[in-house]
Amino acid sequence: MFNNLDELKTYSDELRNKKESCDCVEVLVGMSSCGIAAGAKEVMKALQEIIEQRGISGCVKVKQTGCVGMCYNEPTMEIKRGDESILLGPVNVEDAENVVDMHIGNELKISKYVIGNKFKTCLD
Amino acid sequence: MIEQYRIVLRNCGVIDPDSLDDYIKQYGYQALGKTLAEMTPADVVAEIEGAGLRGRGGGGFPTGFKWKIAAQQKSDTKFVVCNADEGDPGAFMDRSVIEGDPHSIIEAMAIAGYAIGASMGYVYVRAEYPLAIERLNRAIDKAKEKGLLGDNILGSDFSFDLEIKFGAGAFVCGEETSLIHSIEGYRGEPTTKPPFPAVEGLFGKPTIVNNVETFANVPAIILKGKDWFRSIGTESSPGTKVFALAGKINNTGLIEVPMGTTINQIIFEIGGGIPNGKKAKAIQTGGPSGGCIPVKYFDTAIDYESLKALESMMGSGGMIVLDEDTCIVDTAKFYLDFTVDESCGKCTPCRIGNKRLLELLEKVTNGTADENTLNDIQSLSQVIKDTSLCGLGQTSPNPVLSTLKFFPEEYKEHIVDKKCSAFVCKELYQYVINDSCVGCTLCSKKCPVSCIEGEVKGVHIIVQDDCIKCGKCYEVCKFNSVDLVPGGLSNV
Repeated sequence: MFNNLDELKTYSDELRNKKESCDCVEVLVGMSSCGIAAGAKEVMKALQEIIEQRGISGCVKVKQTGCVGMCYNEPTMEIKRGDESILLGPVNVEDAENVVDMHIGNELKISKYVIGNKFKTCLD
Repeated sequence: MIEQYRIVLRNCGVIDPDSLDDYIKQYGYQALGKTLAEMTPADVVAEIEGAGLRGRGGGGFPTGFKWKIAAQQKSDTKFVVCNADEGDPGAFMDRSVIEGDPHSIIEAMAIAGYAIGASMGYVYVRAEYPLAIERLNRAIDKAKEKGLLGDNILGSDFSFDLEIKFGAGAFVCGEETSLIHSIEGYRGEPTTKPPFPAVEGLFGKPTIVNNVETFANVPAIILKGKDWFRSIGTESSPGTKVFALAGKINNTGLIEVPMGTTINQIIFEIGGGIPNGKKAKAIQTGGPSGGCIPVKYFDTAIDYESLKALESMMGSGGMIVLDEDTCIVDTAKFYLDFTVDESCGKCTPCRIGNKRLLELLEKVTNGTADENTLNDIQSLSQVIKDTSLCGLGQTSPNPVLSTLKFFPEEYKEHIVDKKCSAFVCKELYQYVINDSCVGCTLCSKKCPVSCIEGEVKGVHIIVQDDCIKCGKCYEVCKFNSVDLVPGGLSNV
C-alpha cells in the first residue's frame, strides 16, 4: 500500500538500484497474443526445461513480456545481462537449446538469431 | 537512417505486464502521484493542451481541449472512457499496448479523471481481445491492492474506479456516441453531435472518450513536461505515432516513429522494403475511412494535415502496403465491402448508399460498367459523405474517392479496355494454352472442373465457359504453355 508519492518514488528507486547477487541473466519472452500464436508459450516452457537441465536456473530468470512489435520474427525474446541486451528471433522450440547454449551459457553477441538491439524509449 | 523512438510502446516488450513492480520500476504511477500532489486539475488540462497531444484514434482532435470542455461542465458525475474497440483492418496497436503495458492506461485514465473531475472510468475493449481483457483485469486488481486505484489514491482525497466493458464486435462502436450507447446497454448506434460527449455523454453526463494510444502518451507528458513532448514530431502534430505495418512489406509489425517521418523512411528504412523484388504501388492508411497514397507522394512527412491533404487520414495507424500486383479498384472494393458489412443501418445514405456504391464498383471490376459509371460513383460518394449521420458513413467513400483521384487510368482501363493489368479481377482475364503445349495432359488431370480438353501429345484447349480461373493449370504446367491474358468477358 502506497500512502503518498514519496513512498512510491522510494520503492521505485529501490527496485532500480537492486543489484542482483550474481550476474543474473534475464530472458524476456514476447507473450502477447501474436507471440503466443507463433508458439511463444511452448518456447518459454522449453527454455525453462533446458535451463533446469543445465543446472543454471539459479542465475537465469525467464519472464514473459509484451509485444516488441517485430511480428516478422515471432517468437521473439530479449536476453538481458546487466545493462546489455540483445533481441532474438524467430526462436522456435527446436531452437531453444541452441539459444540457451549460445546466448545464455556463452555470451555470444552475434548469431543467426540476433535481430537487433532494444528500441530507444522516452524512459532511457 | 531513421530510428524508432518509443513513448507509447515504452514498456511493451520491456516489462512483464502482469507485474506491478516492473511498471513501478519504470517510473509507473509517478505521473499520477505528481498530478495529485503537485498539480491542480486545471494545471493537468493546461499541460496536456500545451503539449499539443491530439487524438490518436484517427480524427486528431486536440485532447487537452476535449478535457477542458469536460472540466468546465458543472455536474456531480463525470466519466472517463477509454476506446479500445480497435476495428480497422490491419491495426493492432491498442491490443499490443493493453497486453504489454496495461498499467499505463489505468494510470492515464486516473489522471484524466482527476483533470475533469470524474471518479469513474470505463475501458471499452472488444471481446475478441481476451488476453488484453485478462491482463487489464489483473492490473486493475493489483493497482487497487496498492492504493493506486480506488478510494483515496496515494493518500489524497481523489478516488477513481475502473470497469471494463466488452464490445460485441461492431465496428461502428469505435464511434464515440455509438460506444457510449453500447456501454449504456442500448444498441451500438450513433446519434447526432452536438451535444458532444464532453458536454452530455455517458448516462447524460459529461464524458471524455479517448483512444488507448492517446492515453498511453499522458503519463509520459506529465512526467517529462509539455515542452519535451513538443520537441518531438511536427509543429501541428507533436509526439510520435504508432503504425501497424502490414501487407506487402518485409518487416510487418508495430513501429513507433516521431510525427513528420516520411512514408519512404517507414517503408524502406524501418519496414525493409517490398518482398520478392516487387515495386511499391501505394500505401493504404486510415482503414476504411482513409485512402490510398500513391508511390509518387512517398516523400511526404506524415502528420494529420499532410495525410488529409492526400485524401487519406491518419486513422488509428494501420499502414497497408500495396505492391504492383495489387488491383486498386479491387482494394477500394474491399474496404467498401467492409463498410457495407459494418454499417449499423440507422441512416439511409450509409445503409443503402454504400450498398449501391459497392454495386457500381462491382460493375467496374466485372466489366459491365459504362461511361456513366464513374460519374455515378463520384456523385453518390459525395451524397454519402454529405448526408451520413456519423463518422463511419461520412468517411466510407474515401477509399473510392482517393483511388479514383490518384489512379483514374486504372478505373478507365477496367471500364473502357475491360482489362485488369494486375490480373486480380476474375471476369477480366483468362487462361489460354499456347502452341508450345506438348500434350503432357498434366493440366487436364489437375483441373478441378475438368474443363481442359485435348489428345495426348496434342495441344490442349481450355473450355472458357466452364473455367473457374483457379490458376491450377498455370501453376502445374512445366512448359510455360499456359498464358494469363486480358479478356474473357464473353463468359460473363
